[in-house]
Amino acid sequence: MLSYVFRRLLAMFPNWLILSFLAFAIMDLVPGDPVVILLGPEASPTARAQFVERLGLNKPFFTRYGDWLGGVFRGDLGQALFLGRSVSQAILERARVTVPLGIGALLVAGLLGVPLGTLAAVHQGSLLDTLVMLTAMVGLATPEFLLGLILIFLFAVTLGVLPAGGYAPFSNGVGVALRYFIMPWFALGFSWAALVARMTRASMIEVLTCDYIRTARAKGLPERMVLGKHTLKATANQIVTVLGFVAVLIIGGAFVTEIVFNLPGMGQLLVSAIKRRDYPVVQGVILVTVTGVLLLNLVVDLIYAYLDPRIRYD
Amino acid sequence: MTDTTIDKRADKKRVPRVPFKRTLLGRLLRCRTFQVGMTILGPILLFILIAPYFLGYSALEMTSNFMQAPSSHHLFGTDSFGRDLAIRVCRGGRNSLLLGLAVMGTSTAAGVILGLSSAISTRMDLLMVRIVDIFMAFPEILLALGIMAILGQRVVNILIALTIVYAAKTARVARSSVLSISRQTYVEGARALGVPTWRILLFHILPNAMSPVLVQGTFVFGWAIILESGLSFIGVGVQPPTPSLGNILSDARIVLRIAPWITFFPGALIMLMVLGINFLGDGLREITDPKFRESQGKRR
Repeated sequence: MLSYVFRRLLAMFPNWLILSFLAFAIMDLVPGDPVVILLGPEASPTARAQFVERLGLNKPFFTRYGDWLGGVFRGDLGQALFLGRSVSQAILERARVTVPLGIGALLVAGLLGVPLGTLAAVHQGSLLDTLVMLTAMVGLATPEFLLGLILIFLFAVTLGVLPAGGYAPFSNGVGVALRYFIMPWFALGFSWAALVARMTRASMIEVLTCDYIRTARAKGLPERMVLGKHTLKATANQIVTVLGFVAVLIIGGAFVTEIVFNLPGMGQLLVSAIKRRDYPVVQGVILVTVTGVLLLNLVVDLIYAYLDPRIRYD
Repeated sequence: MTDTTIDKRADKKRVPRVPFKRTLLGRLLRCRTFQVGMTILGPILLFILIAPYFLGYSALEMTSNFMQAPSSHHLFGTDSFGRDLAIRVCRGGRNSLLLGLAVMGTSTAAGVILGLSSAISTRMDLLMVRIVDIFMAFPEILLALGIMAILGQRVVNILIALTIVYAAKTARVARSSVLSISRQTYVEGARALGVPTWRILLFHILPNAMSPVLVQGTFVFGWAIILESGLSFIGVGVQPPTPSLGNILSDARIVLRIAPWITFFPGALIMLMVLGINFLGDGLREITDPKFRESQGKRR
């Protein structure tokens, strides 16, 4: 198992290297001289020279990439241009918001989507099924930021029970933090809960028509066992697949959700960095996110092998 | 020479014309799910096409009637610059729809080319899979943001960014469809007859591999609308004052407390547009993919 993880990490490395290259190349791909773009055309020659020195722009591209990559392995992503601190520090600070946001939303997607999809599959063709599937259709058509605005209007503006935005860390007490996180979790998780429900229902229906399920029922196994053990186990792999790519979608969605709820997370950091052209920050956030996605895919594959003994580690 | 012409003519006579009911379009029009989609999209299209003629306002004209509630003068009310919201939502909806349609076209074309290339040789296939894998490691919006950061915030660049985002996804679908078709015996037969590769790709494989790609294209249409509105919402997409549903909602967020209708109308339009498009996609999938039909629990 450990050697499998190691081999997978090794196989991932070339892709990661290309991705890191793309992330780094962003600054050089922007048309025009970055110094002029950042300082404006009226900047004095000395200011310009200082800036070139600071960004290391006087060195050739591949030297700079090598330096940056070397830093990455030491956990150093360089200095942010406008934040007055290092990029890794800024990202770590912001990840404290984005990571709980993403995990909570994934839980909403899974805990809402899987049971509802199962329920719809079991009562296929009933009013309940139609209702769940229609809700799922609407959920899939609602962008997370729109649902966020609707929730803010309902719970913050009209009912006044939850704060409209902002953030409190979990260290201030779970209850306080939850008040800030509950709406973003639902706004971000609901669309994907809809996707999970649709996929769960589809794969459940496929399994429920299998012969061995009919046998299980025929031999008098309680329905709870048929569903909980026989069906769910057979669909678990597909559900994990869906949750895996839903997790990637949630990472992306989190960036927008943060803006709606004014959460100081990585999305806000990235968007403001793009607008200010703070390239080291843009490179850093992209690299960290992409690395996260690659690791996530690895975890999904490991869960696969755990759930389905036919998949071997070698 | 003459023999073959006679044969062709005889063949034409023998093949009965497919009745309209059984063509793709005929089957689509009778599909319930597709009909639901059309019912939702029809009025929206009508609104987008006709509204500019009877609303009598321009999308950029500012007045001193800030944030007025919907009335007979301003059907959807006005926004925080005193602009008529109905015409802005209408124009924004049109922009989103056109952009989504364009992204669907360009990403499908790019995806199909990439997908076909994997049928040329194993080496091409490996290269293709590698490229697609790399792009799939980016969450959609992050890739789009990165590309926008490079290209700058112009409408054409949104089209380019979204095309790159969805071409990779479509390429995956196209590849699996193309590879399964290219293993069919009739393709092998054509190869054995010495038909050139490009001919096999274009005339033997492509037409038969298209239906999953078309279904994917329909969903890309909907996703592109959502992603574009998201980009515009966070201020990296369509730039104001040019209206887009996303940037109207971004302005609306600030005044949500006092003028909720500015959120309601563009929000409802995005939802209904994407809902309608997704129904069209599901309908298309139902009639082209028997397995999906079964999984939806529908009988033939």
